[in-house]
Amino acid sequence: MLRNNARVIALREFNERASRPAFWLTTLFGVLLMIALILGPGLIQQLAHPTVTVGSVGVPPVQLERLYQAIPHQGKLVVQPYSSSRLARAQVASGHLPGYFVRPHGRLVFVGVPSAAIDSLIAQINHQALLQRVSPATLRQIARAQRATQVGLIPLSPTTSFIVRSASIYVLGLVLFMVVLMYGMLIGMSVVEEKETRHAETLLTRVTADGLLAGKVMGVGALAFLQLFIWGVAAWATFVANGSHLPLNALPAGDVGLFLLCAVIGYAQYGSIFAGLAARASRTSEMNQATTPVAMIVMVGYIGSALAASHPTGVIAEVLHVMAFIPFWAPILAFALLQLGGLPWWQLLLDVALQLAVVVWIIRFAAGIFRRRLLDYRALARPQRWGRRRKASS
Amino acid sequence: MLAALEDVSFGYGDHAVLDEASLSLERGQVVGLLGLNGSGKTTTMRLIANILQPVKGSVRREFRKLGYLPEERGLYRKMAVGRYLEFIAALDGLRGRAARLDVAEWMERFGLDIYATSRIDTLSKGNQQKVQLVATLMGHPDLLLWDEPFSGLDALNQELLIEVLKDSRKHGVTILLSTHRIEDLESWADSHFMLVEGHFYPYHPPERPAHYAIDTGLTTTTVAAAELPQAITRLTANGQVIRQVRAESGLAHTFKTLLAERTGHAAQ
Repeated sequence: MLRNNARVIALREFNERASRPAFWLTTLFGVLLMIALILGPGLIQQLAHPTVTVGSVGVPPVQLERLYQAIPHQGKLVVQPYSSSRLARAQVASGHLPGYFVRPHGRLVFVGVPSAAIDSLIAQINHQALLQRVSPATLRQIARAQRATQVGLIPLSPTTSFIVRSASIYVLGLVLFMVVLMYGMLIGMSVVEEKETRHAETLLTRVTADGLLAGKVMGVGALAFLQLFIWGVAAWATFVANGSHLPLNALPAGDVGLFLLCAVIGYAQYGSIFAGLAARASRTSEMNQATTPVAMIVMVGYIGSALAASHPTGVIAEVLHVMAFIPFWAPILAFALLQLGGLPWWQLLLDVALQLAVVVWIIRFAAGIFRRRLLDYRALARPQRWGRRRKASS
Repeated sequence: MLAALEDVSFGYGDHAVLDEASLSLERGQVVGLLGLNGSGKTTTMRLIANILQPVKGSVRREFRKLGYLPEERGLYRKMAVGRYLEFIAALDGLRGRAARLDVAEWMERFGLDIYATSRIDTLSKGNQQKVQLVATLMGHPDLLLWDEPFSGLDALNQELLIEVLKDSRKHGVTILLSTHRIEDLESWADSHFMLVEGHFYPYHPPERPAHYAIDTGLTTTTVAAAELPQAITRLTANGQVIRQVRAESGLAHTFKTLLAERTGHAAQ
């Protein structure tokens, strides 16, 4: 007689909220914020250091200027050539010049006090030199050694894939935090509103309580991921337009899939717990109190994910492996463990199945609460007392 | 039998609302549910609608599709009328053109077609009530539970609702409704039940009024039908002006008798 109807509920949640100007205003605000966060630091740096002047003794100014131009968000570099170190040193001593580049015995040296902009230039020179110094033959030798031995080669400086993975773990933590603060509350408010207006009474004659709650989680989820997708595209477009290179290919397709899976499961778990908390609340104000403990749970997961990079072995690594199976922490930690080599495929499969089962269980549990607390009867009926009352009166 | 409460007990906290009460709804009948405020009329409807579960006893539900109108106005206030009704139709399994046709037909009948694109919160109380009523009629229900359906409706729309009610009965729909319009209920309900102290009692309205109320503007006196001429003579002889003489339904008298009986039984 009753249908699950979660799809119809989800569709309504999505369409209604997506048709409100508030949603698009928030999305637009997010896009502008994203652009400002990406371009802002560079612009500030450019405004703060419009022109940097250095001296050079025997170093072609064109080379230095070209290297400096390759650094994003920098101002203009003016290189003043000097015929001798003595002349350049005199300029530095009189305070007219921060320093100068010189090349004694084939090595590039900066004489003076380097500012932040000159530091960036030195780093760029070092980077270029490193790239030029390692020959393809050496790289091939390293690759052969890696294949032939059981010993892993640990790079002394972080590799690009390490940096990208760390960034994606950070992004996942951020996504889950936003889920808790924004969309979790949205689900909660929507559920409480149904109770407050008593509209749930009409709906529950047409849809099951778990269908209603699951529909809300799905509908708001679709909206959340649409908004995150728009913000992601805006960030990527800004990076590209700014001439920055995003090494997205450093993240294997499997990791991207795992990222999306963890984000969806994480959203579903936190979204359904908010639906459950709302099922218990009788007023929207009660929902605000529920946010803090849930946000703290996310924080613990986030701290755990940060520890994964710094503790590749030992007790903490073991604890993190166990925590990767505990609901609410699992979505963020299962992904963060990629830094420790990841979980074996069968463990990952087991973890995903377990976490999805937890989502279903939470929704069913929340639906039970929703039905019981729909009319906000604080005390359950106690028929034995009615009997007692009748006996007392007779 | 379409739905039935069988020895159902239900209460809130220490307050028993239904106490091993039984009620049966037959197909194609209009049943009026009467009771004092807080006697449990809404609870009865919620039990049949499966919103509440009985503490004791059972509820049999043989109906195919239910249309439930709660006493309180629960709507998505920010949605447009047409979109809201299409959403309700979708919940009933209607999609696309079928849903739009069903919605358009009912909106036209209730005079809501001009508000199809208006947001629900911009409508008057009466029109919001009509939106809820239309929502109950979507998807061809065979049982309608209407809790105070006339609330907020003007005289014209009350007549329209009675028409819809009679049409629904013709099509075999069972309707259980609670209303304060007892006079009308007597003329078109097939049976009535009174809910007193947790029990349902069949109520048969008298063919002729047993009592009359004489209203002088200052006082209202209830007299037996046989004593009406003498009472009028007595009052007018004293120089009083009679504003209105109205027949009493006998409902209040029946309630008082039942209450006295129930409390009497309890006291014994």
